[in-house]
Amino acid sequence: MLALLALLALAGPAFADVGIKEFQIVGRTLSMLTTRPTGRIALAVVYAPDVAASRQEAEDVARVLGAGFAVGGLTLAPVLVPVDRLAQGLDGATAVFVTAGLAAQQDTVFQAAGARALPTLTLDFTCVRAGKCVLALKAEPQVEIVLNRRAAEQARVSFASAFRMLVSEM
Amino acid sequence: MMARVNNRPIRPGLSLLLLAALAMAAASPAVGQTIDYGTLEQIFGQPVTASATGSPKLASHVPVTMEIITQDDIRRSGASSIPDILRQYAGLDVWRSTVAGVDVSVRGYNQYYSPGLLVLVNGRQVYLDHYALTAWSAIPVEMGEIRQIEVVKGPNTALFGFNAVQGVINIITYSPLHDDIDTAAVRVGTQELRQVSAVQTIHLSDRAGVRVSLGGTEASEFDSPFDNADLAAGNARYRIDPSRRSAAIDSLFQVTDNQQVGLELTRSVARQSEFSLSADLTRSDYETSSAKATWTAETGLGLMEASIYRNLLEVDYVGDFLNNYHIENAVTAARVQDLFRLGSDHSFRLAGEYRHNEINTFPDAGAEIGYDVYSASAMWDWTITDAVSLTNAVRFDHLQMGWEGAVDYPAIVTPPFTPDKYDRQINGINVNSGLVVRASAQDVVRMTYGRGLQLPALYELSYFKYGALPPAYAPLVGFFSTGNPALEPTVVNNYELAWDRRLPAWDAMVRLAAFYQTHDNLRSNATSDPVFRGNVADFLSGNVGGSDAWGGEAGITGTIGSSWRWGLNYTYEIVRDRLSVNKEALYAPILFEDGTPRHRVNGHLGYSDGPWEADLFAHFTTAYDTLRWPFGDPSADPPYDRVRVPAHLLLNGRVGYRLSDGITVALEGQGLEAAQHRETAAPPVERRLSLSLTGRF
Repeated sequence: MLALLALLALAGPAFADVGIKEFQIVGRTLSMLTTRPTGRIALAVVYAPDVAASRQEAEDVARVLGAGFAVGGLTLAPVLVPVDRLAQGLDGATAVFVTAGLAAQQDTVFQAAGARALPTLTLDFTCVRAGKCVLALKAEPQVEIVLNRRAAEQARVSFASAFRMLVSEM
Repeated sequence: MMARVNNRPIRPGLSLLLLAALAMAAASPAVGQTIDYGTLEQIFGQPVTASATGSPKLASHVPVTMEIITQDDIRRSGASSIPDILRQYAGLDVWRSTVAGVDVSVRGYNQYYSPGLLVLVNGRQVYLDHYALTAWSAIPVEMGEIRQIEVVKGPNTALFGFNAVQGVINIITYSPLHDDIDTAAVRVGTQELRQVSAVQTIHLSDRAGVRVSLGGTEASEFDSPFDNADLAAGNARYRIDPSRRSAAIDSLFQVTDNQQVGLELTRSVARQSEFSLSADLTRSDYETSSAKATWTAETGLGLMEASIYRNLLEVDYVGDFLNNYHIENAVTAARVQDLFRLGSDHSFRLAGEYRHNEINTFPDAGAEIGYDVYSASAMWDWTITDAVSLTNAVRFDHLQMGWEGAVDYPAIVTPPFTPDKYDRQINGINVNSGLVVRASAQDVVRMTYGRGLQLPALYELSYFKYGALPPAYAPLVGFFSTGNPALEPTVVNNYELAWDRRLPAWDAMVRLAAFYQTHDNLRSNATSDPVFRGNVADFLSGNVGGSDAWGGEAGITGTIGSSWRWGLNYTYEIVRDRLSVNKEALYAPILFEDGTPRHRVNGHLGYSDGPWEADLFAHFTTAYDTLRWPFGDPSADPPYDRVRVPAHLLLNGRVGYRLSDGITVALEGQGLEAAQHRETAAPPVERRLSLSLTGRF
């Protein structure tokens, strides 16, 4: 919480890639998990405090989601988690949002999330291509979702077949 | 059960099933939950459909040319019936003959009791097999419960089997489990229209949902004049005021995390005048009921579905041709399918289906004819690259026909076909193939091929009527009108090239399509060349040649800001009949060449501002011909009149005002441009105005 407050205090201009549309998709995508979460869930937003892009994106996510962002039957409650505090930060989370600029730490995040069977979602397609995130998405100009099947298997998360038929799987 | 002989193993089907088993054994595990169309549409920002391939597809990715009509489109149309909505879309022809009697065709080939168009509600056929027609008012669905209407143009028989040769209209309702739809609507209008409709969704828990819908309509039939005294004398007694009652219960239960079970019951009663296939006015009383159960499961072998339904139809016709006919038709269909992925680039759907269809003999009862159809189908969707995908689907149908019982004909009447002639098999292969190229972020090109078989309608196989001829016909003393169990299915091939282009600067989408179709083994219920059996003329159903069509569709839809929406589409089509008999369409309404308008144009302009919503639709069609029984001199040659339906412009529209969050009042109109216009050989269609009050809770 202290970290969140500190970040909000330092918040700068919004990063263009993070907006309401993205998290509407994130929320509805989570409802495509085979173990469908409902109600208020904690979305762990993992960031590297010393990486500007990562920190900026985390701030934007926190701003967009506020105290809780309702989408479908879910309310996404952001929990900002510094990448060096994964062990505590992921406890109680339902899903993990991986911010940009974490290339050096993506494997660590993926292993920690996988150990808890948590899906890792990101706007950074390179993370999915590297097999260190389960799913990447963008909302503009058209919705695009890429799912890494092997990463999903490793993380022990699965999505509805109908959803998988509609996304790009790799 | 029908008497069936020679039920042989279906070896091709077994082969496909074996292939399915092998493929599934190698499939990667796929677990998850069943299809939630609403959420998927919200994720991807566009409608999702399974009507193209059986696999969920984004509307922009389907390997067929299709229209997806959303609930917003339905509301804004101001239409009180589904055909009035369809009229605005490229390639769709709508013939309204009475207040409730209406026929719809895709890409021409319209005729009374239009066959060849498979109409479904959530995959259950509501198209009626006895005459291969769709009684639109007897469909047990309310406008307020429809999520979307999916219109596939051209044969889609590899997915849906026999009869989806012109196209498919799949009406998709909201999910009783995933959606929460509660509406009530009342509508009053000209022709003394009184219509009520109510839809209530009850979520018993987050794992059980039930949706109940009820509807009722009363109205007065058009009183526009008949063209002459003979027609008035012949038809007026069959003009009745239409009424409709409909009830449906649809439920869905999440029985485990990975399994859902659905149950659906429907009932409808529709009484109306309509132009029958004999091109005369007929009083029709339709009673339909259905029961359907579905099971869906996410398994290690993919998304598996099983369904079984039974449709019952009782219909009474009173007319000069369909004279006091009582028809009972029962359809039972069972289906299993598995949808799975192999790797990341290949999706497959494997399905097996059984269908039993039976009908009483008529006009003389006493026997039943029917058939069993065993089908196996496979679909392979290959994502070749991010930009290119290829979908191939094939379906094999094996039909075994049979006859049970006996009809007590008078001693002097000997039907030409004995029951053993109904011991017949038909095997057919249906194919659909589509290459989709997303050439850029704005461009999608589709090249498709479809081959479909259209079965003869049940009456074409079994009908048998006899009668005496007046002395003027001597030495003939009588006639037969005879269904023919030896009829061959009509074969339709469709070749198509289509291009969709987004225009982001205009917030618009352009759609172009060019198609070429061939129809072989067209059928007529009684040809102009009777078979003479002694001193009896037998007007025998037969295969009467073919027909070809080619044409194109061009359309653009767009929005301006958040207030304006607009659209324009144009359809051009030429049909060339190649009839081997019946060239003058003497006894049966086959008149495709002159019955298909050459040009159709639709325009739409809509505006929303706060609580106001206004939409105006224009529909223009060039002239076409249709047939009519003249009720004059029965010995006239040819006995049917050819009636020219002049080019006409229709204006339809709606102005709605939202009184509160859930309550909307709307003024709606169809045929605003004139008091009357003609769409068929029936008396003209009158202007229809209505006022509706709709609540969404």
